[in-house]
Amino acid sequence: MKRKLICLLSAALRAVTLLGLALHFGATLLFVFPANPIKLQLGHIADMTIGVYFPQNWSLFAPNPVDSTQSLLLECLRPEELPTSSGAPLALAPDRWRDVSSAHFVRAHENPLSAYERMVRPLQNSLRRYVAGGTELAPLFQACSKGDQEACASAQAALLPQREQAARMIRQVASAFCRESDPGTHFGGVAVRYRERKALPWSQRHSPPAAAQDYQLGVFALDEDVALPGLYRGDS
Amino acid sequence: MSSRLRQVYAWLSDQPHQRAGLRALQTALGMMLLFRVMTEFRFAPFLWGPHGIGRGSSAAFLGDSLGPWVDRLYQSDLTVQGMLCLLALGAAGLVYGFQTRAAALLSLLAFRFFESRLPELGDGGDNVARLVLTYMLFALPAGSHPRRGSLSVWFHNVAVLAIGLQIGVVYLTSGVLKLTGERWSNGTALYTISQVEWFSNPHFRELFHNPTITALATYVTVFFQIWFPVVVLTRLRPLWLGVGILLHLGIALFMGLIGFSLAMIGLELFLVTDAEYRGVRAAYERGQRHLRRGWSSARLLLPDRPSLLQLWNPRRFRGKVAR
Repeated sequence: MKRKLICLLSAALRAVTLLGLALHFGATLLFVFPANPIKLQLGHIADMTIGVYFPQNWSLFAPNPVDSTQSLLLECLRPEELPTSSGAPLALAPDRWRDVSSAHFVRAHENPLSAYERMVRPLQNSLRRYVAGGTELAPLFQACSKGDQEACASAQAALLPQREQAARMIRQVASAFCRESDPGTHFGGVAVRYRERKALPWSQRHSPPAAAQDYQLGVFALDEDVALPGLYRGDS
Repeated sequence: MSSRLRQVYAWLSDQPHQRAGLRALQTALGMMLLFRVMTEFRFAPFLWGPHGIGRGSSAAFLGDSLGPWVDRLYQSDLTVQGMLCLLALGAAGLVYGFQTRAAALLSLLAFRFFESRLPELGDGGDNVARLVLTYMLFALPAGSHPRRGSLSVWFHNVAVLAIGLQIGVVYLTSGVLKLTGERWSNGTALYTISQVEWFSNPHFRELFHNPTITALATYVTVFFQIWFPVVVLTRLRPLWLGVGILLHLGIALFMGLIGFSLAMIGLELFLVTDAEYRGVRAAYERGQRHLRRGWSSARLLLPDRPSLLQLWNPRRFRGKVAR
């Protein structure tokens, strides 16, 4: 009798594991695949299960790879250089801007068996999030570009909190750079710029690189608390 | 039960599968995690510490009651570094095949801890490593000898199936999404990636100005990914796995994504069956025997002169040379 019960329990357990496996991978496919009629109906189940406990994203340079080099430029400002409350425009010499992202890229290429490439990811992902809301908002912006006014409004509303989060990270990295690269100087803030250099289209591949475009992101108060990474010593 | 179903049931319940493949995967993931710990340890306070740039919470996956409690671990640089040491311990266990189930659990917990604190740091390799470590908790520990048909064999084989399905999901999704992209369909995606400083080694940038290389590499990538879940069930599997390994070696070399490449190569090695590993081992031993035999015959033809090693350290070999 006892042996029969154990056999029955064992068979039930085996069946449950197989059922669980099927449900898990059904939900996974629903979660990772692009929008489709089934996903519109049942996607919320996948979001509540896979999205919380087994989050995953396999776009891996799809549908289109990143087509521009984005970098963070910054200028450390002494207290007397900070913009005044009167709102006078900030006048900085062009040669004072320092490209933090490119410094990481160069070091990562020189030493692939290092953390330089990984260390730049928080910064790069924050830049992308600040400018266009990151991968989460990409479908909304795509729909907006096709003329969907509702998507445009939703994208703009969702962009604000994304920007706040990204700005916090940008401020911290920029502050760490200023404090570490020039420890002898007391800075009060940091001016930040976003630079984008588009990849040339295939037909123009032999032409000189495209001109970079800079966008002002603003001036942030220096974060005196952020831990220093030990990456930017001597970068002044 | 039809004979097909009976076969599936027997595959799942009789004896454990992919044991050598699982060891290869554990080794690759362990090496990937060790690489991360070794290169990121000194930056731990900046990345995850109380004054670091990471501000995420474990509440997302542990819930509102347990999450904040676990988050207390982020309140000191020392505990963060301690967690990195635990991750290294788990990773070393995976590499050496020591207590692999406990090592997978330790790695998974520490890994999830860091991921929730600073999600911006991860990539696809970390994502797949986290999932696969979860499935590994149900696999048999390395070197164990379970009873044929036991429940632990069943769980092991279900875990093997889960890892296999996860690999299929990775490639199928990525391939399908690429099909919808203009640059992948017009064959210039890899040229575009090669022009972005973050993801391309400047030494290889010119290479992707060549139309044949760019178009071929782009289409091979999409074709490989789309067909992967089907082809691995056919006789072409070794070829596909070989292409996959080359592809990810290329990603490590051209794009510098070492961790991602290690994880993906581990997944490809996982799909080599135990019988195939035994075949490779037998071929290797045969080759070694041939070489040894050839070397002995060659030595008979050579004058009795000391080797380079003996010349370099004559004291150690004096007796042998004299003999």
